[in-house]
Amino acid sequence: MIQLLKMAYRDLGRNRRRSFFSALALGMGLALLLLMAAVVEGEMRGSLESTIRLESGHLQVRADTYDEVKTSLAWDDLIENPIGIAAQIAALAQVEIATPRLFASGIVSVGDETEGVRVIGVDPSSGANAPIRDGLVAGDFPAADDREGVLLGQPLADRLSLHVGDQVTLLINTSNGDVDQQAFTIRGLYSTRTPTYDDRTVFLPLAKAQAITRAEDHASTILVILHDRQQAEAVAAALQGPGLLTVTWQKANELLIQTEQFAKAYMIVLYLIVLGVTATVIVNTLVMAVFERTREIGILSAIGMRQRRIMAMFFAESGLLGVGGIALGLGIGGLLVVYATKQGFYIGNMGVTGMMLGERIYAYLTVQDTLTLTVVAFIVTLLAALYPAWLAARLEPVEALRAGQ
Amino acid sequence: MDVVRVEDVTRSFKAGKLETNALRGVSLSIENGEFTALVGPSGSGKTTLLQLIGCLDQPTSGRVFINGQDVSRLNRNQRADMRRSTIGFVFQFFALIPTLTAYENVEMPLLLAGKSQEERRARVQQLLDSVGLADRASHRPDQLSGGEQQRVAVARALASGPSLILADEPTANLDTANGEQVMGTMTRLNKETGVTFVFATHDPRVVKFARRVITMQDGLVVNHNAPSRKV
Amino acid sequence: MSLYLRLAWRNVRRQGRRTLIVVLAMGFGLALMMMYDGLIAGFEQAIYGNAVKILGGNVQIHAAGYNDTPGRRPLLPLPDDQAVVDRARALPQVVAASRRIKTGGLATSREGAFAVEIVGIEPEAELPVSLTAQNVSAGRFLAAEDEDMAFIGQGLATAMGVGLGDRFTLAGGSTHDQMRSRTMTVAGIFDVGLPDIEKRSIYIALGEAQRLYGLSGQSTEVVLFLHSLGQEQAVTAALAPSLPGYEVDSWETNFPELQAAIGTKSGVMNVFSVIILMIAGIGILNLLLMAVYERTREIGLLGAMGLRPGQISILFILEGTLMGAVGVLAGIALGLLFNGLLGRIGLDYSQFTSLTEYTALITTRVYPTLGTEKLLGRAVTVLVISALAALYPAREAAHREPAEALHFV
Repeated sequence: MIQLLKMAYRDLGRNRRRSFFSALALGMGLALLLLMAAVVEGEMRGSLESTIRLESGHLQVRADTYDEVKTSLAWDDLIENPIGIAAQIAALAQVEIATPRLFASGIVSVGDETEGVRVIGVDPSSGANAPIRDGLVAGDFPAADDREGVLLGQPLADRLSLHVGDQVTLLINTSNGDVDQQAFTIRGLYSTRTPTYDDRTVFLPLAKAQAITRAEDHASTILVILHDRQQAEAVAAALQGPGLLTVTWQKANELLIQTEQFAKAYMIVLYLIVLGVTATVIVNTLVMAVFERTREIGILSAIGMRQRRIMAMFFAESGLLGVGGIALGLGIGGLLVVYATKQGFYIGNMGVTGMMLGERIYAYLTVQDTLTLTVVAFIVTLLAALYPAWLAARLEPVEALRAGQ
Repeated sequence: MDVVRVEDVTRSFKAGKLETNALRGVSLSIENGEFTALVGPSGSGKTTLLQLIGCLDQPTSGRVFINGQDVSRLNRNQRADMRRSTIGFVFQFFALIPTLTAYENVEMPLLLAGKSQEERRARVQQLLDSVGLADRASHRPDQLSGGEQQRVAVARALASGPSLILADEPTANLDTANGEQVMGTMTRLNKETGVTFVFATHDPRVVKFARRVITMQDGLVVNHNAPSRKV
Repeated sequence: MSLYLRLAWRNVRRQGRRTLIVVLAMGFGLALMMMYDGLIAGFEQAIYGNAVKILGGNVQIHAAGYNDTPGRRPLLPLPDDQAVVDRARALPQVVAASRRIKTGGLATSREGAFAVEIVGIEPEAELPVSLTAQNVSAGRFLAAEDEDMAFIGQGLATAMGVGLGDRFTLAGGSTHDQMRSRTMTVAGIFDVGLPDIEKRSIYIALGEAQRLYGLSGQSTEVVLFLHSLGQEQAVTAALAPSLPGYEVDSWETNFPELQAAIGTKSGVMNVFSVIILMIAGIGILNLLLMAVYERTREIGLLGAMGLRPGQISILFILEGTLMGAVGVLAGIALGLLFNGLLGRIGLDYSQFTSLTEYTALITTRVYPTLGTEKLLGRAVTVLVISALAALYPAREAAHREPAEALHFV
């Protein structure tokens, strides 16, 4: 076996340029596959992260009759004593943050212009607001006791030509179906770089939101952030209570996760195409090599080398090429992936498919993907040697020797 | 007039650290119409000398004149032009283009010279006739015997109307009968057309056809003008 | 030059096996590229095709001045909307053309008030292409003679707390800056699995909208639904000249966020395809290197016959390019065949995902297109690569001294 490998190595070395180019083709193929996998994975992780940070958190505790599409404000659908409950939850060891939030639907009105929005009442001091805080472009959150302040998304403000300090009228649907209306002053503008979100979400202090919607001491949900998101299921089990429902981030983001599966399936065909091109290159190179070395094969056969061994020789060469190519591929691919991970790709606004995606995709390469793709690439290289090896073994020694002339 | 004049030519090859002196100072001249053999054992330098005369290679030092023109300092393109118009080659390994028929092989130099279709056809027919292979015109090299291939090569060498034909071991891959036939053809053509023939050989059966024999050994000429002798 | 072409072509034909291998390599490579393109285009149709339908069609035609203030929906009637519709219907790419009235408004129920876009449509014209009509979860789609009937999305129905047959108040912006209010009954509810989008619009019959908002016999928009994404340019170019004084736009201008999404995705995909071409290029280079290597003696012979190095190079470059040309043709044939077949059958992704349970927006059956979108560029690239790939070994071979080449075994 070692001898075979040594011979194969020497044979490859005899035509260094050709061997290099073949390995390079394989390397580039693998690098491309790694990059593709990393981009898809990164895209999905990015949108999942986005959604968790902005929407679902790791857990949400709600009344079991609450429907988030309806954003009902009837007391039966809300949680009573939210601040107290949040404090209890926050006391658990695995919980990093627990904060109450109130959702309402409303309309922002300036002059003749109206825009439908979602209103979220938040505790301005909570750490859960970090993504919004990080995205503040002007001003600040309204203070907890601010009765006239509102925080708007930058895209919305731009569309209505508004700035910090301007006045807007906010109409909000209350818990008994009325519409309450009040003039507010814009305290701040934010941008999370997720246009679907920024366009339609405005923030009020929780106390004010409760007052204006007549929700009083109620909230729609308790948003929970854990130290370790993998513990979501476990903590959810601990938070069972009468009339309460705890939703994990996995459940809340089912659509997203399904879309991920779809995208990955879609990518498989593209991977096959890349592998197809690479395999074609390798097969053709090897076949030409067989023809070039016809005389040599004839000699080997004439001095008694058996067919099996001749085939094994070609497989060994192909295998070594595979190893070399994979090394190249991991190297080049590694560089590309590192770049794509640090810098990312700018993709603009993905609003319409209903998924939240930021404006940049950052690549992310999992160990699993790397292993799978590497192994597949190697197998393909070996398979590529099948036809040429078979060709070589079939040569009659006499023909082969004569053919050299 | 000398067709070929060689003045004090040396040629050495470097392969890594190894330096080989293939020619170590050769001077000679060949007249128009000669039928001359360069004879010597393997390594005597006869092939190298032939290549230098044929502008296939350049001397390390010294000069080579063809029809009075110094070819040793010509650039690549000029040497190629020289080969196209003035010199024809016959090689040991036949060196026909394997994918072309006999007709097409002989036609090649004429194509390159830009002759018209009718001119080419006439000339190729005539040439194949003169080597006795008119009926094999549409055969490929792998369908011809060794002797036939070599005769096609001779026809091709003559196609462009050169004043000089150089043949390197033309009979080395032929059996006696074929070898004699090829040499006979070349002798006849030399008489009929007056084209100068120089060949490099160490085959004594060939030497007997030559009218003049130049003997070489270890990169030098040892005997310039020995008259042709029946062996 | 034509001599060299003939010689090169003869060589290519006579090489037989070698040419076959190179041609197969290039042809296969190109065919795979075409499959890649076809697949990507197919996916775009699958994912975005429906999005465009639901957002309001491929092409929109308005009266001049409609787009002056972005974000507003002025009630600017078209001078001759029927003529526009007729012109549009004559184009082969247009599946359906219909008239609409769009205005902003407020829907009020016992749950509160909700800002919506009110869209008056021609139900018979839009039925065949309407995604909402194909996903009715309760009641029915609209009919032209409907009065005081509304067709709303499930998300809005839930938010408003209304069901089939319930009533709510709809106030819409009318001409002369007035608001006209009306009580509507829910005639039907559609569910496309995306509550956010469903909350944005309410559909009513065109006739109703004309009466309510002061536009009798007129409409503010003609909407065109095309066979497939990507035909918008051609259609706009065909229509705009014959409709002076109208603004003809496509979803690309009206929904720039979708355009950006597709544009960048396809930018990323392009980078990938360039890399694939480079891999194929290496393969071709390798093959041509070997081909030339094998013919070294022949090259020496050509040199001996008096061919200049430059001329030998040209000969081999032509051979490489000709092989490339044949390869390209073979590849196109293979690619068209494969994509054509696959485009009929379609790829069924539904076993990989239960996505369809969640959204009607993404069809899980993907139909690759013929892949001709980028074909010209790809074919030219393969040809150029062949020529370049032949250049290097050709020059190398031609510049050897013939003496060296001839004694090459």
